[in-house]
Amino acid sequence: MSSSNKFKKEDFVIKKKDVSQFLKGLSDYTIYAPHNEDDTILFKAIVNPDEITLQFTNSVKPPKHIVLPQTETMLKITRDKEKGYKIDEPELKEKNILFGIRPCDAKGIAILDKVFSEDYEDPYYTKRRKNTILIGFACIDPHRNCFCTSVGGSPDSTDGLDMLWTDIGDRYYVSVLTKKGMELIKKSDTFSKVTSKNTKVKDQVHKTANDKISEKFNADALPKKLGNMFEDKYWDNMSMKCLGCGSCTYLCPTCYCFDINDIEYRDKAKRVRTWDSCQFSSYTIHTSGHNPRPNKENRMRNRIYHKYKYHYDNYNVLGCVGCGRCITYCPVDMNIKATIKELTKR
Amino acid sequence: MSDIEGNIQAKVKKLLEDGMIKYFIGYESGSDPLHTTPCFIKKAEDVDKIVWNPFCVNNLVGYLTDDKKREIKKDEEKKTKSIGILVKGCDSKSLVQLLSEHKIEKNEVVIFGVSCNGVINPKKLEKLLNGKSIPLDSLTLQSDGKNYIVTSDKKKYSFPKDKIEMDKCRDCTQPNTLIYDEFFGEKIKTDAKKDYTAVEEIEALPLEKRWEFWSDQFAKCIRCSACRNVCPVCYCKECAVDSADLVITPQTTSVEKANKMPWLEKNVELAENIFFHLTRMMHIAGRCINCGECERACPMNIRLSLLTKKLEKEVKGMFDYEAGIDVEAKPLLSIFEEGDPGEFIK
Ligand code: SF4
Ligand code: SF4
Ligand code: SF4
Ligand code: SF4
Ligand code: SF4
Repeated sequence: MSSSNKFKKEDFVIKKKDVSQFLKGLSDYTIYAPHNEDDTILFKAIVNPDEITLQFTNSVKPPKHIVLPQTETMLKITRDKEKGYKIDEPELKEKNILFGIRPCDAKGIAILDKVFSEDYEDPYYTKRRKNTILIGFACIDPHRNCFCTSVGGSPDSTDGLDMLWTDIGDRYYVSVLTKKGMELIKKSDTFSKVTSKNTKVKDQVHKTANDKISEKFNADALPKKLGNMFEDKYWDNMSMKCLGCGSCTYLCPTCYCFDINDIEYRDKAKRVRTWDSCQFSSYTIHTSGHNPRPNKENRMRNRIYHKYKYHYDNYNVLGCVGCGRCITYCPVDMNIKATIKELTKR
Repeated sequence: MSDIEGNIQAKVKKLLEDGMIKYFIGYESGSDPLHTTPCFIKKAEDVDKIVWNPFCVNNLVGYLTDDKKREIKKDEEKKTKSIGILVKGCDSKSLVQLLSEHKIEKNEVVIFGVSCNGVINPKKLEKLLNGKSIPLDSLTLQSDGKNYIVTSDKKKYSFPKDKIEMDKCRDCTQPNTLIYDEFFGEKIKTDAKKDYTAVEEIEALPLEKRWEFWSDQFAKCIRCSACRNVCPVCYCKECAVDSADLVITPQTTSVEKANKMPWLEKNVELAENIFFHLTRMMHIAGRCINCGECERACPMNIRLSLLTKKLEKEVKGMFDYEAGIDVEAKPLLSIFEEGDPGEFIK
């Protein structure tokens, strides 16, 4: 879904003190940005730029819910005197800006783009996505569980982004990557030309952040390796501690499994799409009662296979962007980095 | 390596060599120096993986019922051998609770008891470390009773114990495992009393404020079920708050399937979230032993222990009952006594 084909990239700088003025000029859009409440960083629709925190490693939840909401009403059915019933579909006209998204999460959205637009164009996702502008912030201080550089990303990766901003001291270095991004810049007079010194500082900031991710391994070998590991004992042992909750999948920027249900009220009904998780025991249960993935080792294997094999086989890109959330928030400290390293050794 | 750790390893080794247990559930080093992770030791040569230190936070008792829930047993699991398990004082209350509910029988487990000086909340410690830019890589930790001495990069830092330990440890009345086959370490005496200050602060709020507080909390919930799945007393295979997770087997008739009541849908909305939590609270009333695992597991930092402590306080006040103390005790909600102190009963 890249609109950047013929676009010529251009760089600018903006003084930190002008950012708030720039954001205030974007009143046609809903701006989602990182917000800190009780030490929990989440993307939130902000009313005032003061609510934004840019001192963060990454949000607990990736902002994927802005293009793929956890609960989405696909249609509403109400009683109608003449016709008997009436169906309303959402218009999805809202224009969104994701301000402060991290490069891994933007890459996650680029991955979702393929899923929801290649074989079948999902109208809900694609409409939202078309109306969403992604302003990324390069990471300065990656979290210890980050491993983007091992799965084809980096703290300054531009995949999926319309702009990438880098903190270079008293100002941000703004790389404009798409036409959509350029249109926003043109709305404001707070941006100025870059100097060669700005560019040098920016490159140094990127390099420092990259170097901070000391641990590197090669996940590219996995799609092939996994090919003959389906029945391996490894899954039985590594999954024993897994609780089968949905944390690792619900917090993953590339997980997209969903479920659709009709919910009835007294005289209305709605059809909703909700996130689902392959780690739930109900995920694959058949109406017959048969469950092809009856135990947690089957479900864990599916998660790893999906990220490191199936997704690669289908879209030629790994289904993991190395954000590390599935390690950080797993209640039993399941370590996907250790899993990858173990698998590559085989 | 502490004496306790070495002695545990030696005992596990002996039991495995003698064929007395099919495996041992304990802790091993985790993804970083702030975490340990549950481990399942099946072979005598692996016992040196076992660790015992203030990062051994997880309550492992839930794995005992988890083992029984597996749908397809592997051959080696069909043998009726017991499971060895390391159980802290607080966690032993959940074990007692499961024994009293006959979810586990005593001959199915070999219980390793320990004396515990408290365990660390990695989130609290990490925040303090980040505040002082203390690197994690080479971190080690010792205790002098009142303080934890953290050594990192050859420098020493002291943190007061009560600033970094889990909240539950601050009013722990049960530092020694209640029921055990083997005990490791010196028994600890304590005259600690349960502290309900945090609960009382919420109780003191006017109704609207309380509603606001809990609405904000529950609105954050992403229904990942980590809180339920980590809970040692939430072992039901058919969970009332998981509409799709109903037990359907090939024997379930279509009429039965059609009549399965979806108490709760998957849509994540405030009303549904509240229903999820309040139902769970009702189902664990008089059974929850306040191990604090649900709050620890929650990625969204929802204050679940305020609810579980409230339950404990009410159960004590109304019925003079405490869960997880006596293996012979009848479950609270299945008994009636004329002497119940609650006014409403008369
Ligand atoms: S978050 Fe951890 S415990 Fe939960 S399903 Fe994922 S790996 Fe298992
Ligand atoms: S699998 Fe884990 S590390 Fe990879 S993108 Fe998902 S949450 Fe991040
Ligand atoms: S509550 Fe008590 S037994 Fe449990 S971890 Fe804390 S100090 Fe140890
Ligand atoms: S762990 Fe937290 S976010 Fe997940 S279901 Fe429980 S309360 Fe909700
Ligand atoms: S409800 Fe929470 S505190 Fe109570 S037993 Fe379950 S996990 Fe432990």
